[in-house]
Amino acid sequence: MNRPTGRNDPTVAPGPVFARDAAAADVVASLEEHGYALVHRLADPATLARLNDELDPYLAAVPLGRTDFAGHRTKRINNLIAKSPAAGELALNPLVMSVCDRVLLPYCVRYHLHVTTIIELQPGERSQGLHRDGGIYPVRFPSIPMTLATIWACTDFTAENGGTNLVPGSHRWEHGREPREDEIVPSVMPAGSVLIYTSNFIHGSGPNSSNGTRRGMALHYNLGWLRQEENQYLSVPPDVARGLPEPLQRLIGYDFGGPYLGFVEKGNPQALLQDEAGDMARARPEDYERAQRIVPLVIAPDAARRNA
Amino acid sequence: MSAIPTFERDVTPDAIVEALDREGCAVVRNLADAEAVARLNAEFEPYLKAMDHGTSTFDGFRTKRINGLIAKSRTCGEFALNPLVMAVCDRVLLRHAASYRLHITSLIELQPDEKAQVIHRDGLIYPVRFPSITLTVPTMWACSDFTAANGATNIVPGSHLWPDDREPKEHEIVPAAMPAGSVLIYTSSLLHGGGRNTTTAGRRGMALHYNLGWLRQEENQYLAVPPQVARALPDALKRLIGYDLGGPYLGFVEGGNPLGVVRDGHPEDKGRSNPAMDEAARRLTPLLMTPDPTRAAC
Repeated sequence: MNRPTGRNDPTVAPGPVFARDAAAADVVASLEEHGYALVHRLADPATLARLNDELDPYLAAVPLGRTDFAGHRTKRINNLIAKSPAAGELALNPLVMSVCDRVLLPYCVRYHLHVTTIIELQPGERSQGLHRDGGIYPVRFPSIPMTLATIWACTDFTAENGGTNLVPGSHRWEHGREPREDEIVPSVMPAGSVLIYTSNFIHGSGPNSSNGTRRGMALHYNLGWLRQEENQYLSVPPDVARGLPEPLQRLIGYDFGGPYLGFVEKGNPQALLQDEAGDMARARPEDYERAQRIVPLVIAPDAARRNA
Repeated sequence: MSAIPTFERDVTPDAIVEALDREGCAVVRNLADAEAVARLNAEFEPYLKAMDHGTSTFDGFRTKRINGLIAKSRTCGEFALNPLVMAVCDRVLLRHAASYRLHITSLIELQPDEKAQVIHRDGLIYPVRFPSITLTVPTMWACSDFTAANGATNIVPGSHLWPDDREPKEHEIVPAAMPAGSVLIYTSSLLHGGGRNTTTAGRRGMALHYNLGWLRQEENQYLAVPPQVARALPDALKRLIGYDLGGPYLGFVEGGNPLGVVRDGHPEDKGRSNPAMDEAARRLTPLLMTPDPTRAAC
């Protein structure tokens, strides 16, 4: 099962498993149909080895989690952009960027890197509670996509070692519907592959019943007008951000989230990272046009679920 | 013509919230005492002297603007934490968020001959259709007297309930005239704009806006008030400008509360949430977020 397939039959929705030459449009179609997509071996072995090498010292030093959600047999590391150049490269992966463009840009002028986490399940770790990432915002599901999540397999993901549990189709479920046991499938993919899903999709880390560790890297992206889960400006402060490539500076939030949104001293936050006086307007001219083509959102409390 | 509900400084927060729900705006006269206003103005004087005029129609070609006020003026921080304003924000913004933040700080000084600013809604910084839930609560403190002649903010009372495309008629626009030390409070859905200054003196106002804690702030406070500056602020102000979680898990640093970046050794700063945040998030009614079906993309 779960062998990469191409899109040979146009009457069948593509996915959910793709090879690394997948077209972004097909990955997006899979997100719409199944709620998720797996792209096998999207990262090459050299990049993956570099990523693991860069993060090994941090994992060796970090203690296990302290809460049920974080996992008592799980090591987590955040703020990966400041720690690993390879994480920055994968954050800018062209296929992922192209999928984000199609999924997030209908609802925002620019998207940002939302949160970065290494999640290493140790042997004996139990399943994480199933959840939707969009629950970080007070929205009713199903909602517009607030975030797009990628989980890069840094080791093989198997049914035994805690490959992320997925609930196919749950991105369309009504608020409050709980999955039955037979609706949950583990994500199985070789190291270097990436799992992609949106904020509406129900998922959670699996149990690790193997005697090896399972390492995954979560890089999430969010609509540029939302607060980021990880405060990138404090995690990657200007003196660190200055050393990053400019597209990565902008992706982590050293740029506007829309006209006027997120300025510093009347200028673009990216100007702080330049030696010469930079862009000192409170909006990028092209952002006005991008803002114009967004269909305005009707935001209203769900009357049927008004809390007592 | 609708009027702006106007109160004296002994008003209750509930009376202001009622006015905001009904008219979208309220003025509290003389809320700041004269000594605090004088201190505020003295702290800004050197920045205004050094500042050029605006370079866009929206910012105004005869207007001086200063941002990043929390790093520049200690008194501004006191105004931002005004207890009456906080009590109003608690009641209005905590309807839809586990916390709220300082969104933007601007000192706006209209010089003689400045023209009126285009009438707009502050909520438009987010891609929403109006009328909308309240996303931000702006306050405009009068640092000098605001008069109809010197560019007092133009207000369209009741427009917070109007559909997106309704334009105000001339007689529906009211200037928020108020003496120095007063504050105008309104919501992200209200139509308003800077007035026209036909006098020979400057009109100075301080805009302090607050937004729902799950939204991006208009002014990046972490860069405008970096940790080495924020460290010296009172804890309540650190939290307000964003050195705190915006909700459970929202806005953490290295798996902890961003407060830990600007104060040392507080046990509360470890962890990506806390019981109070969890409880505040639990009582929220989930929000429907739907692209306006009448404006679907072509």
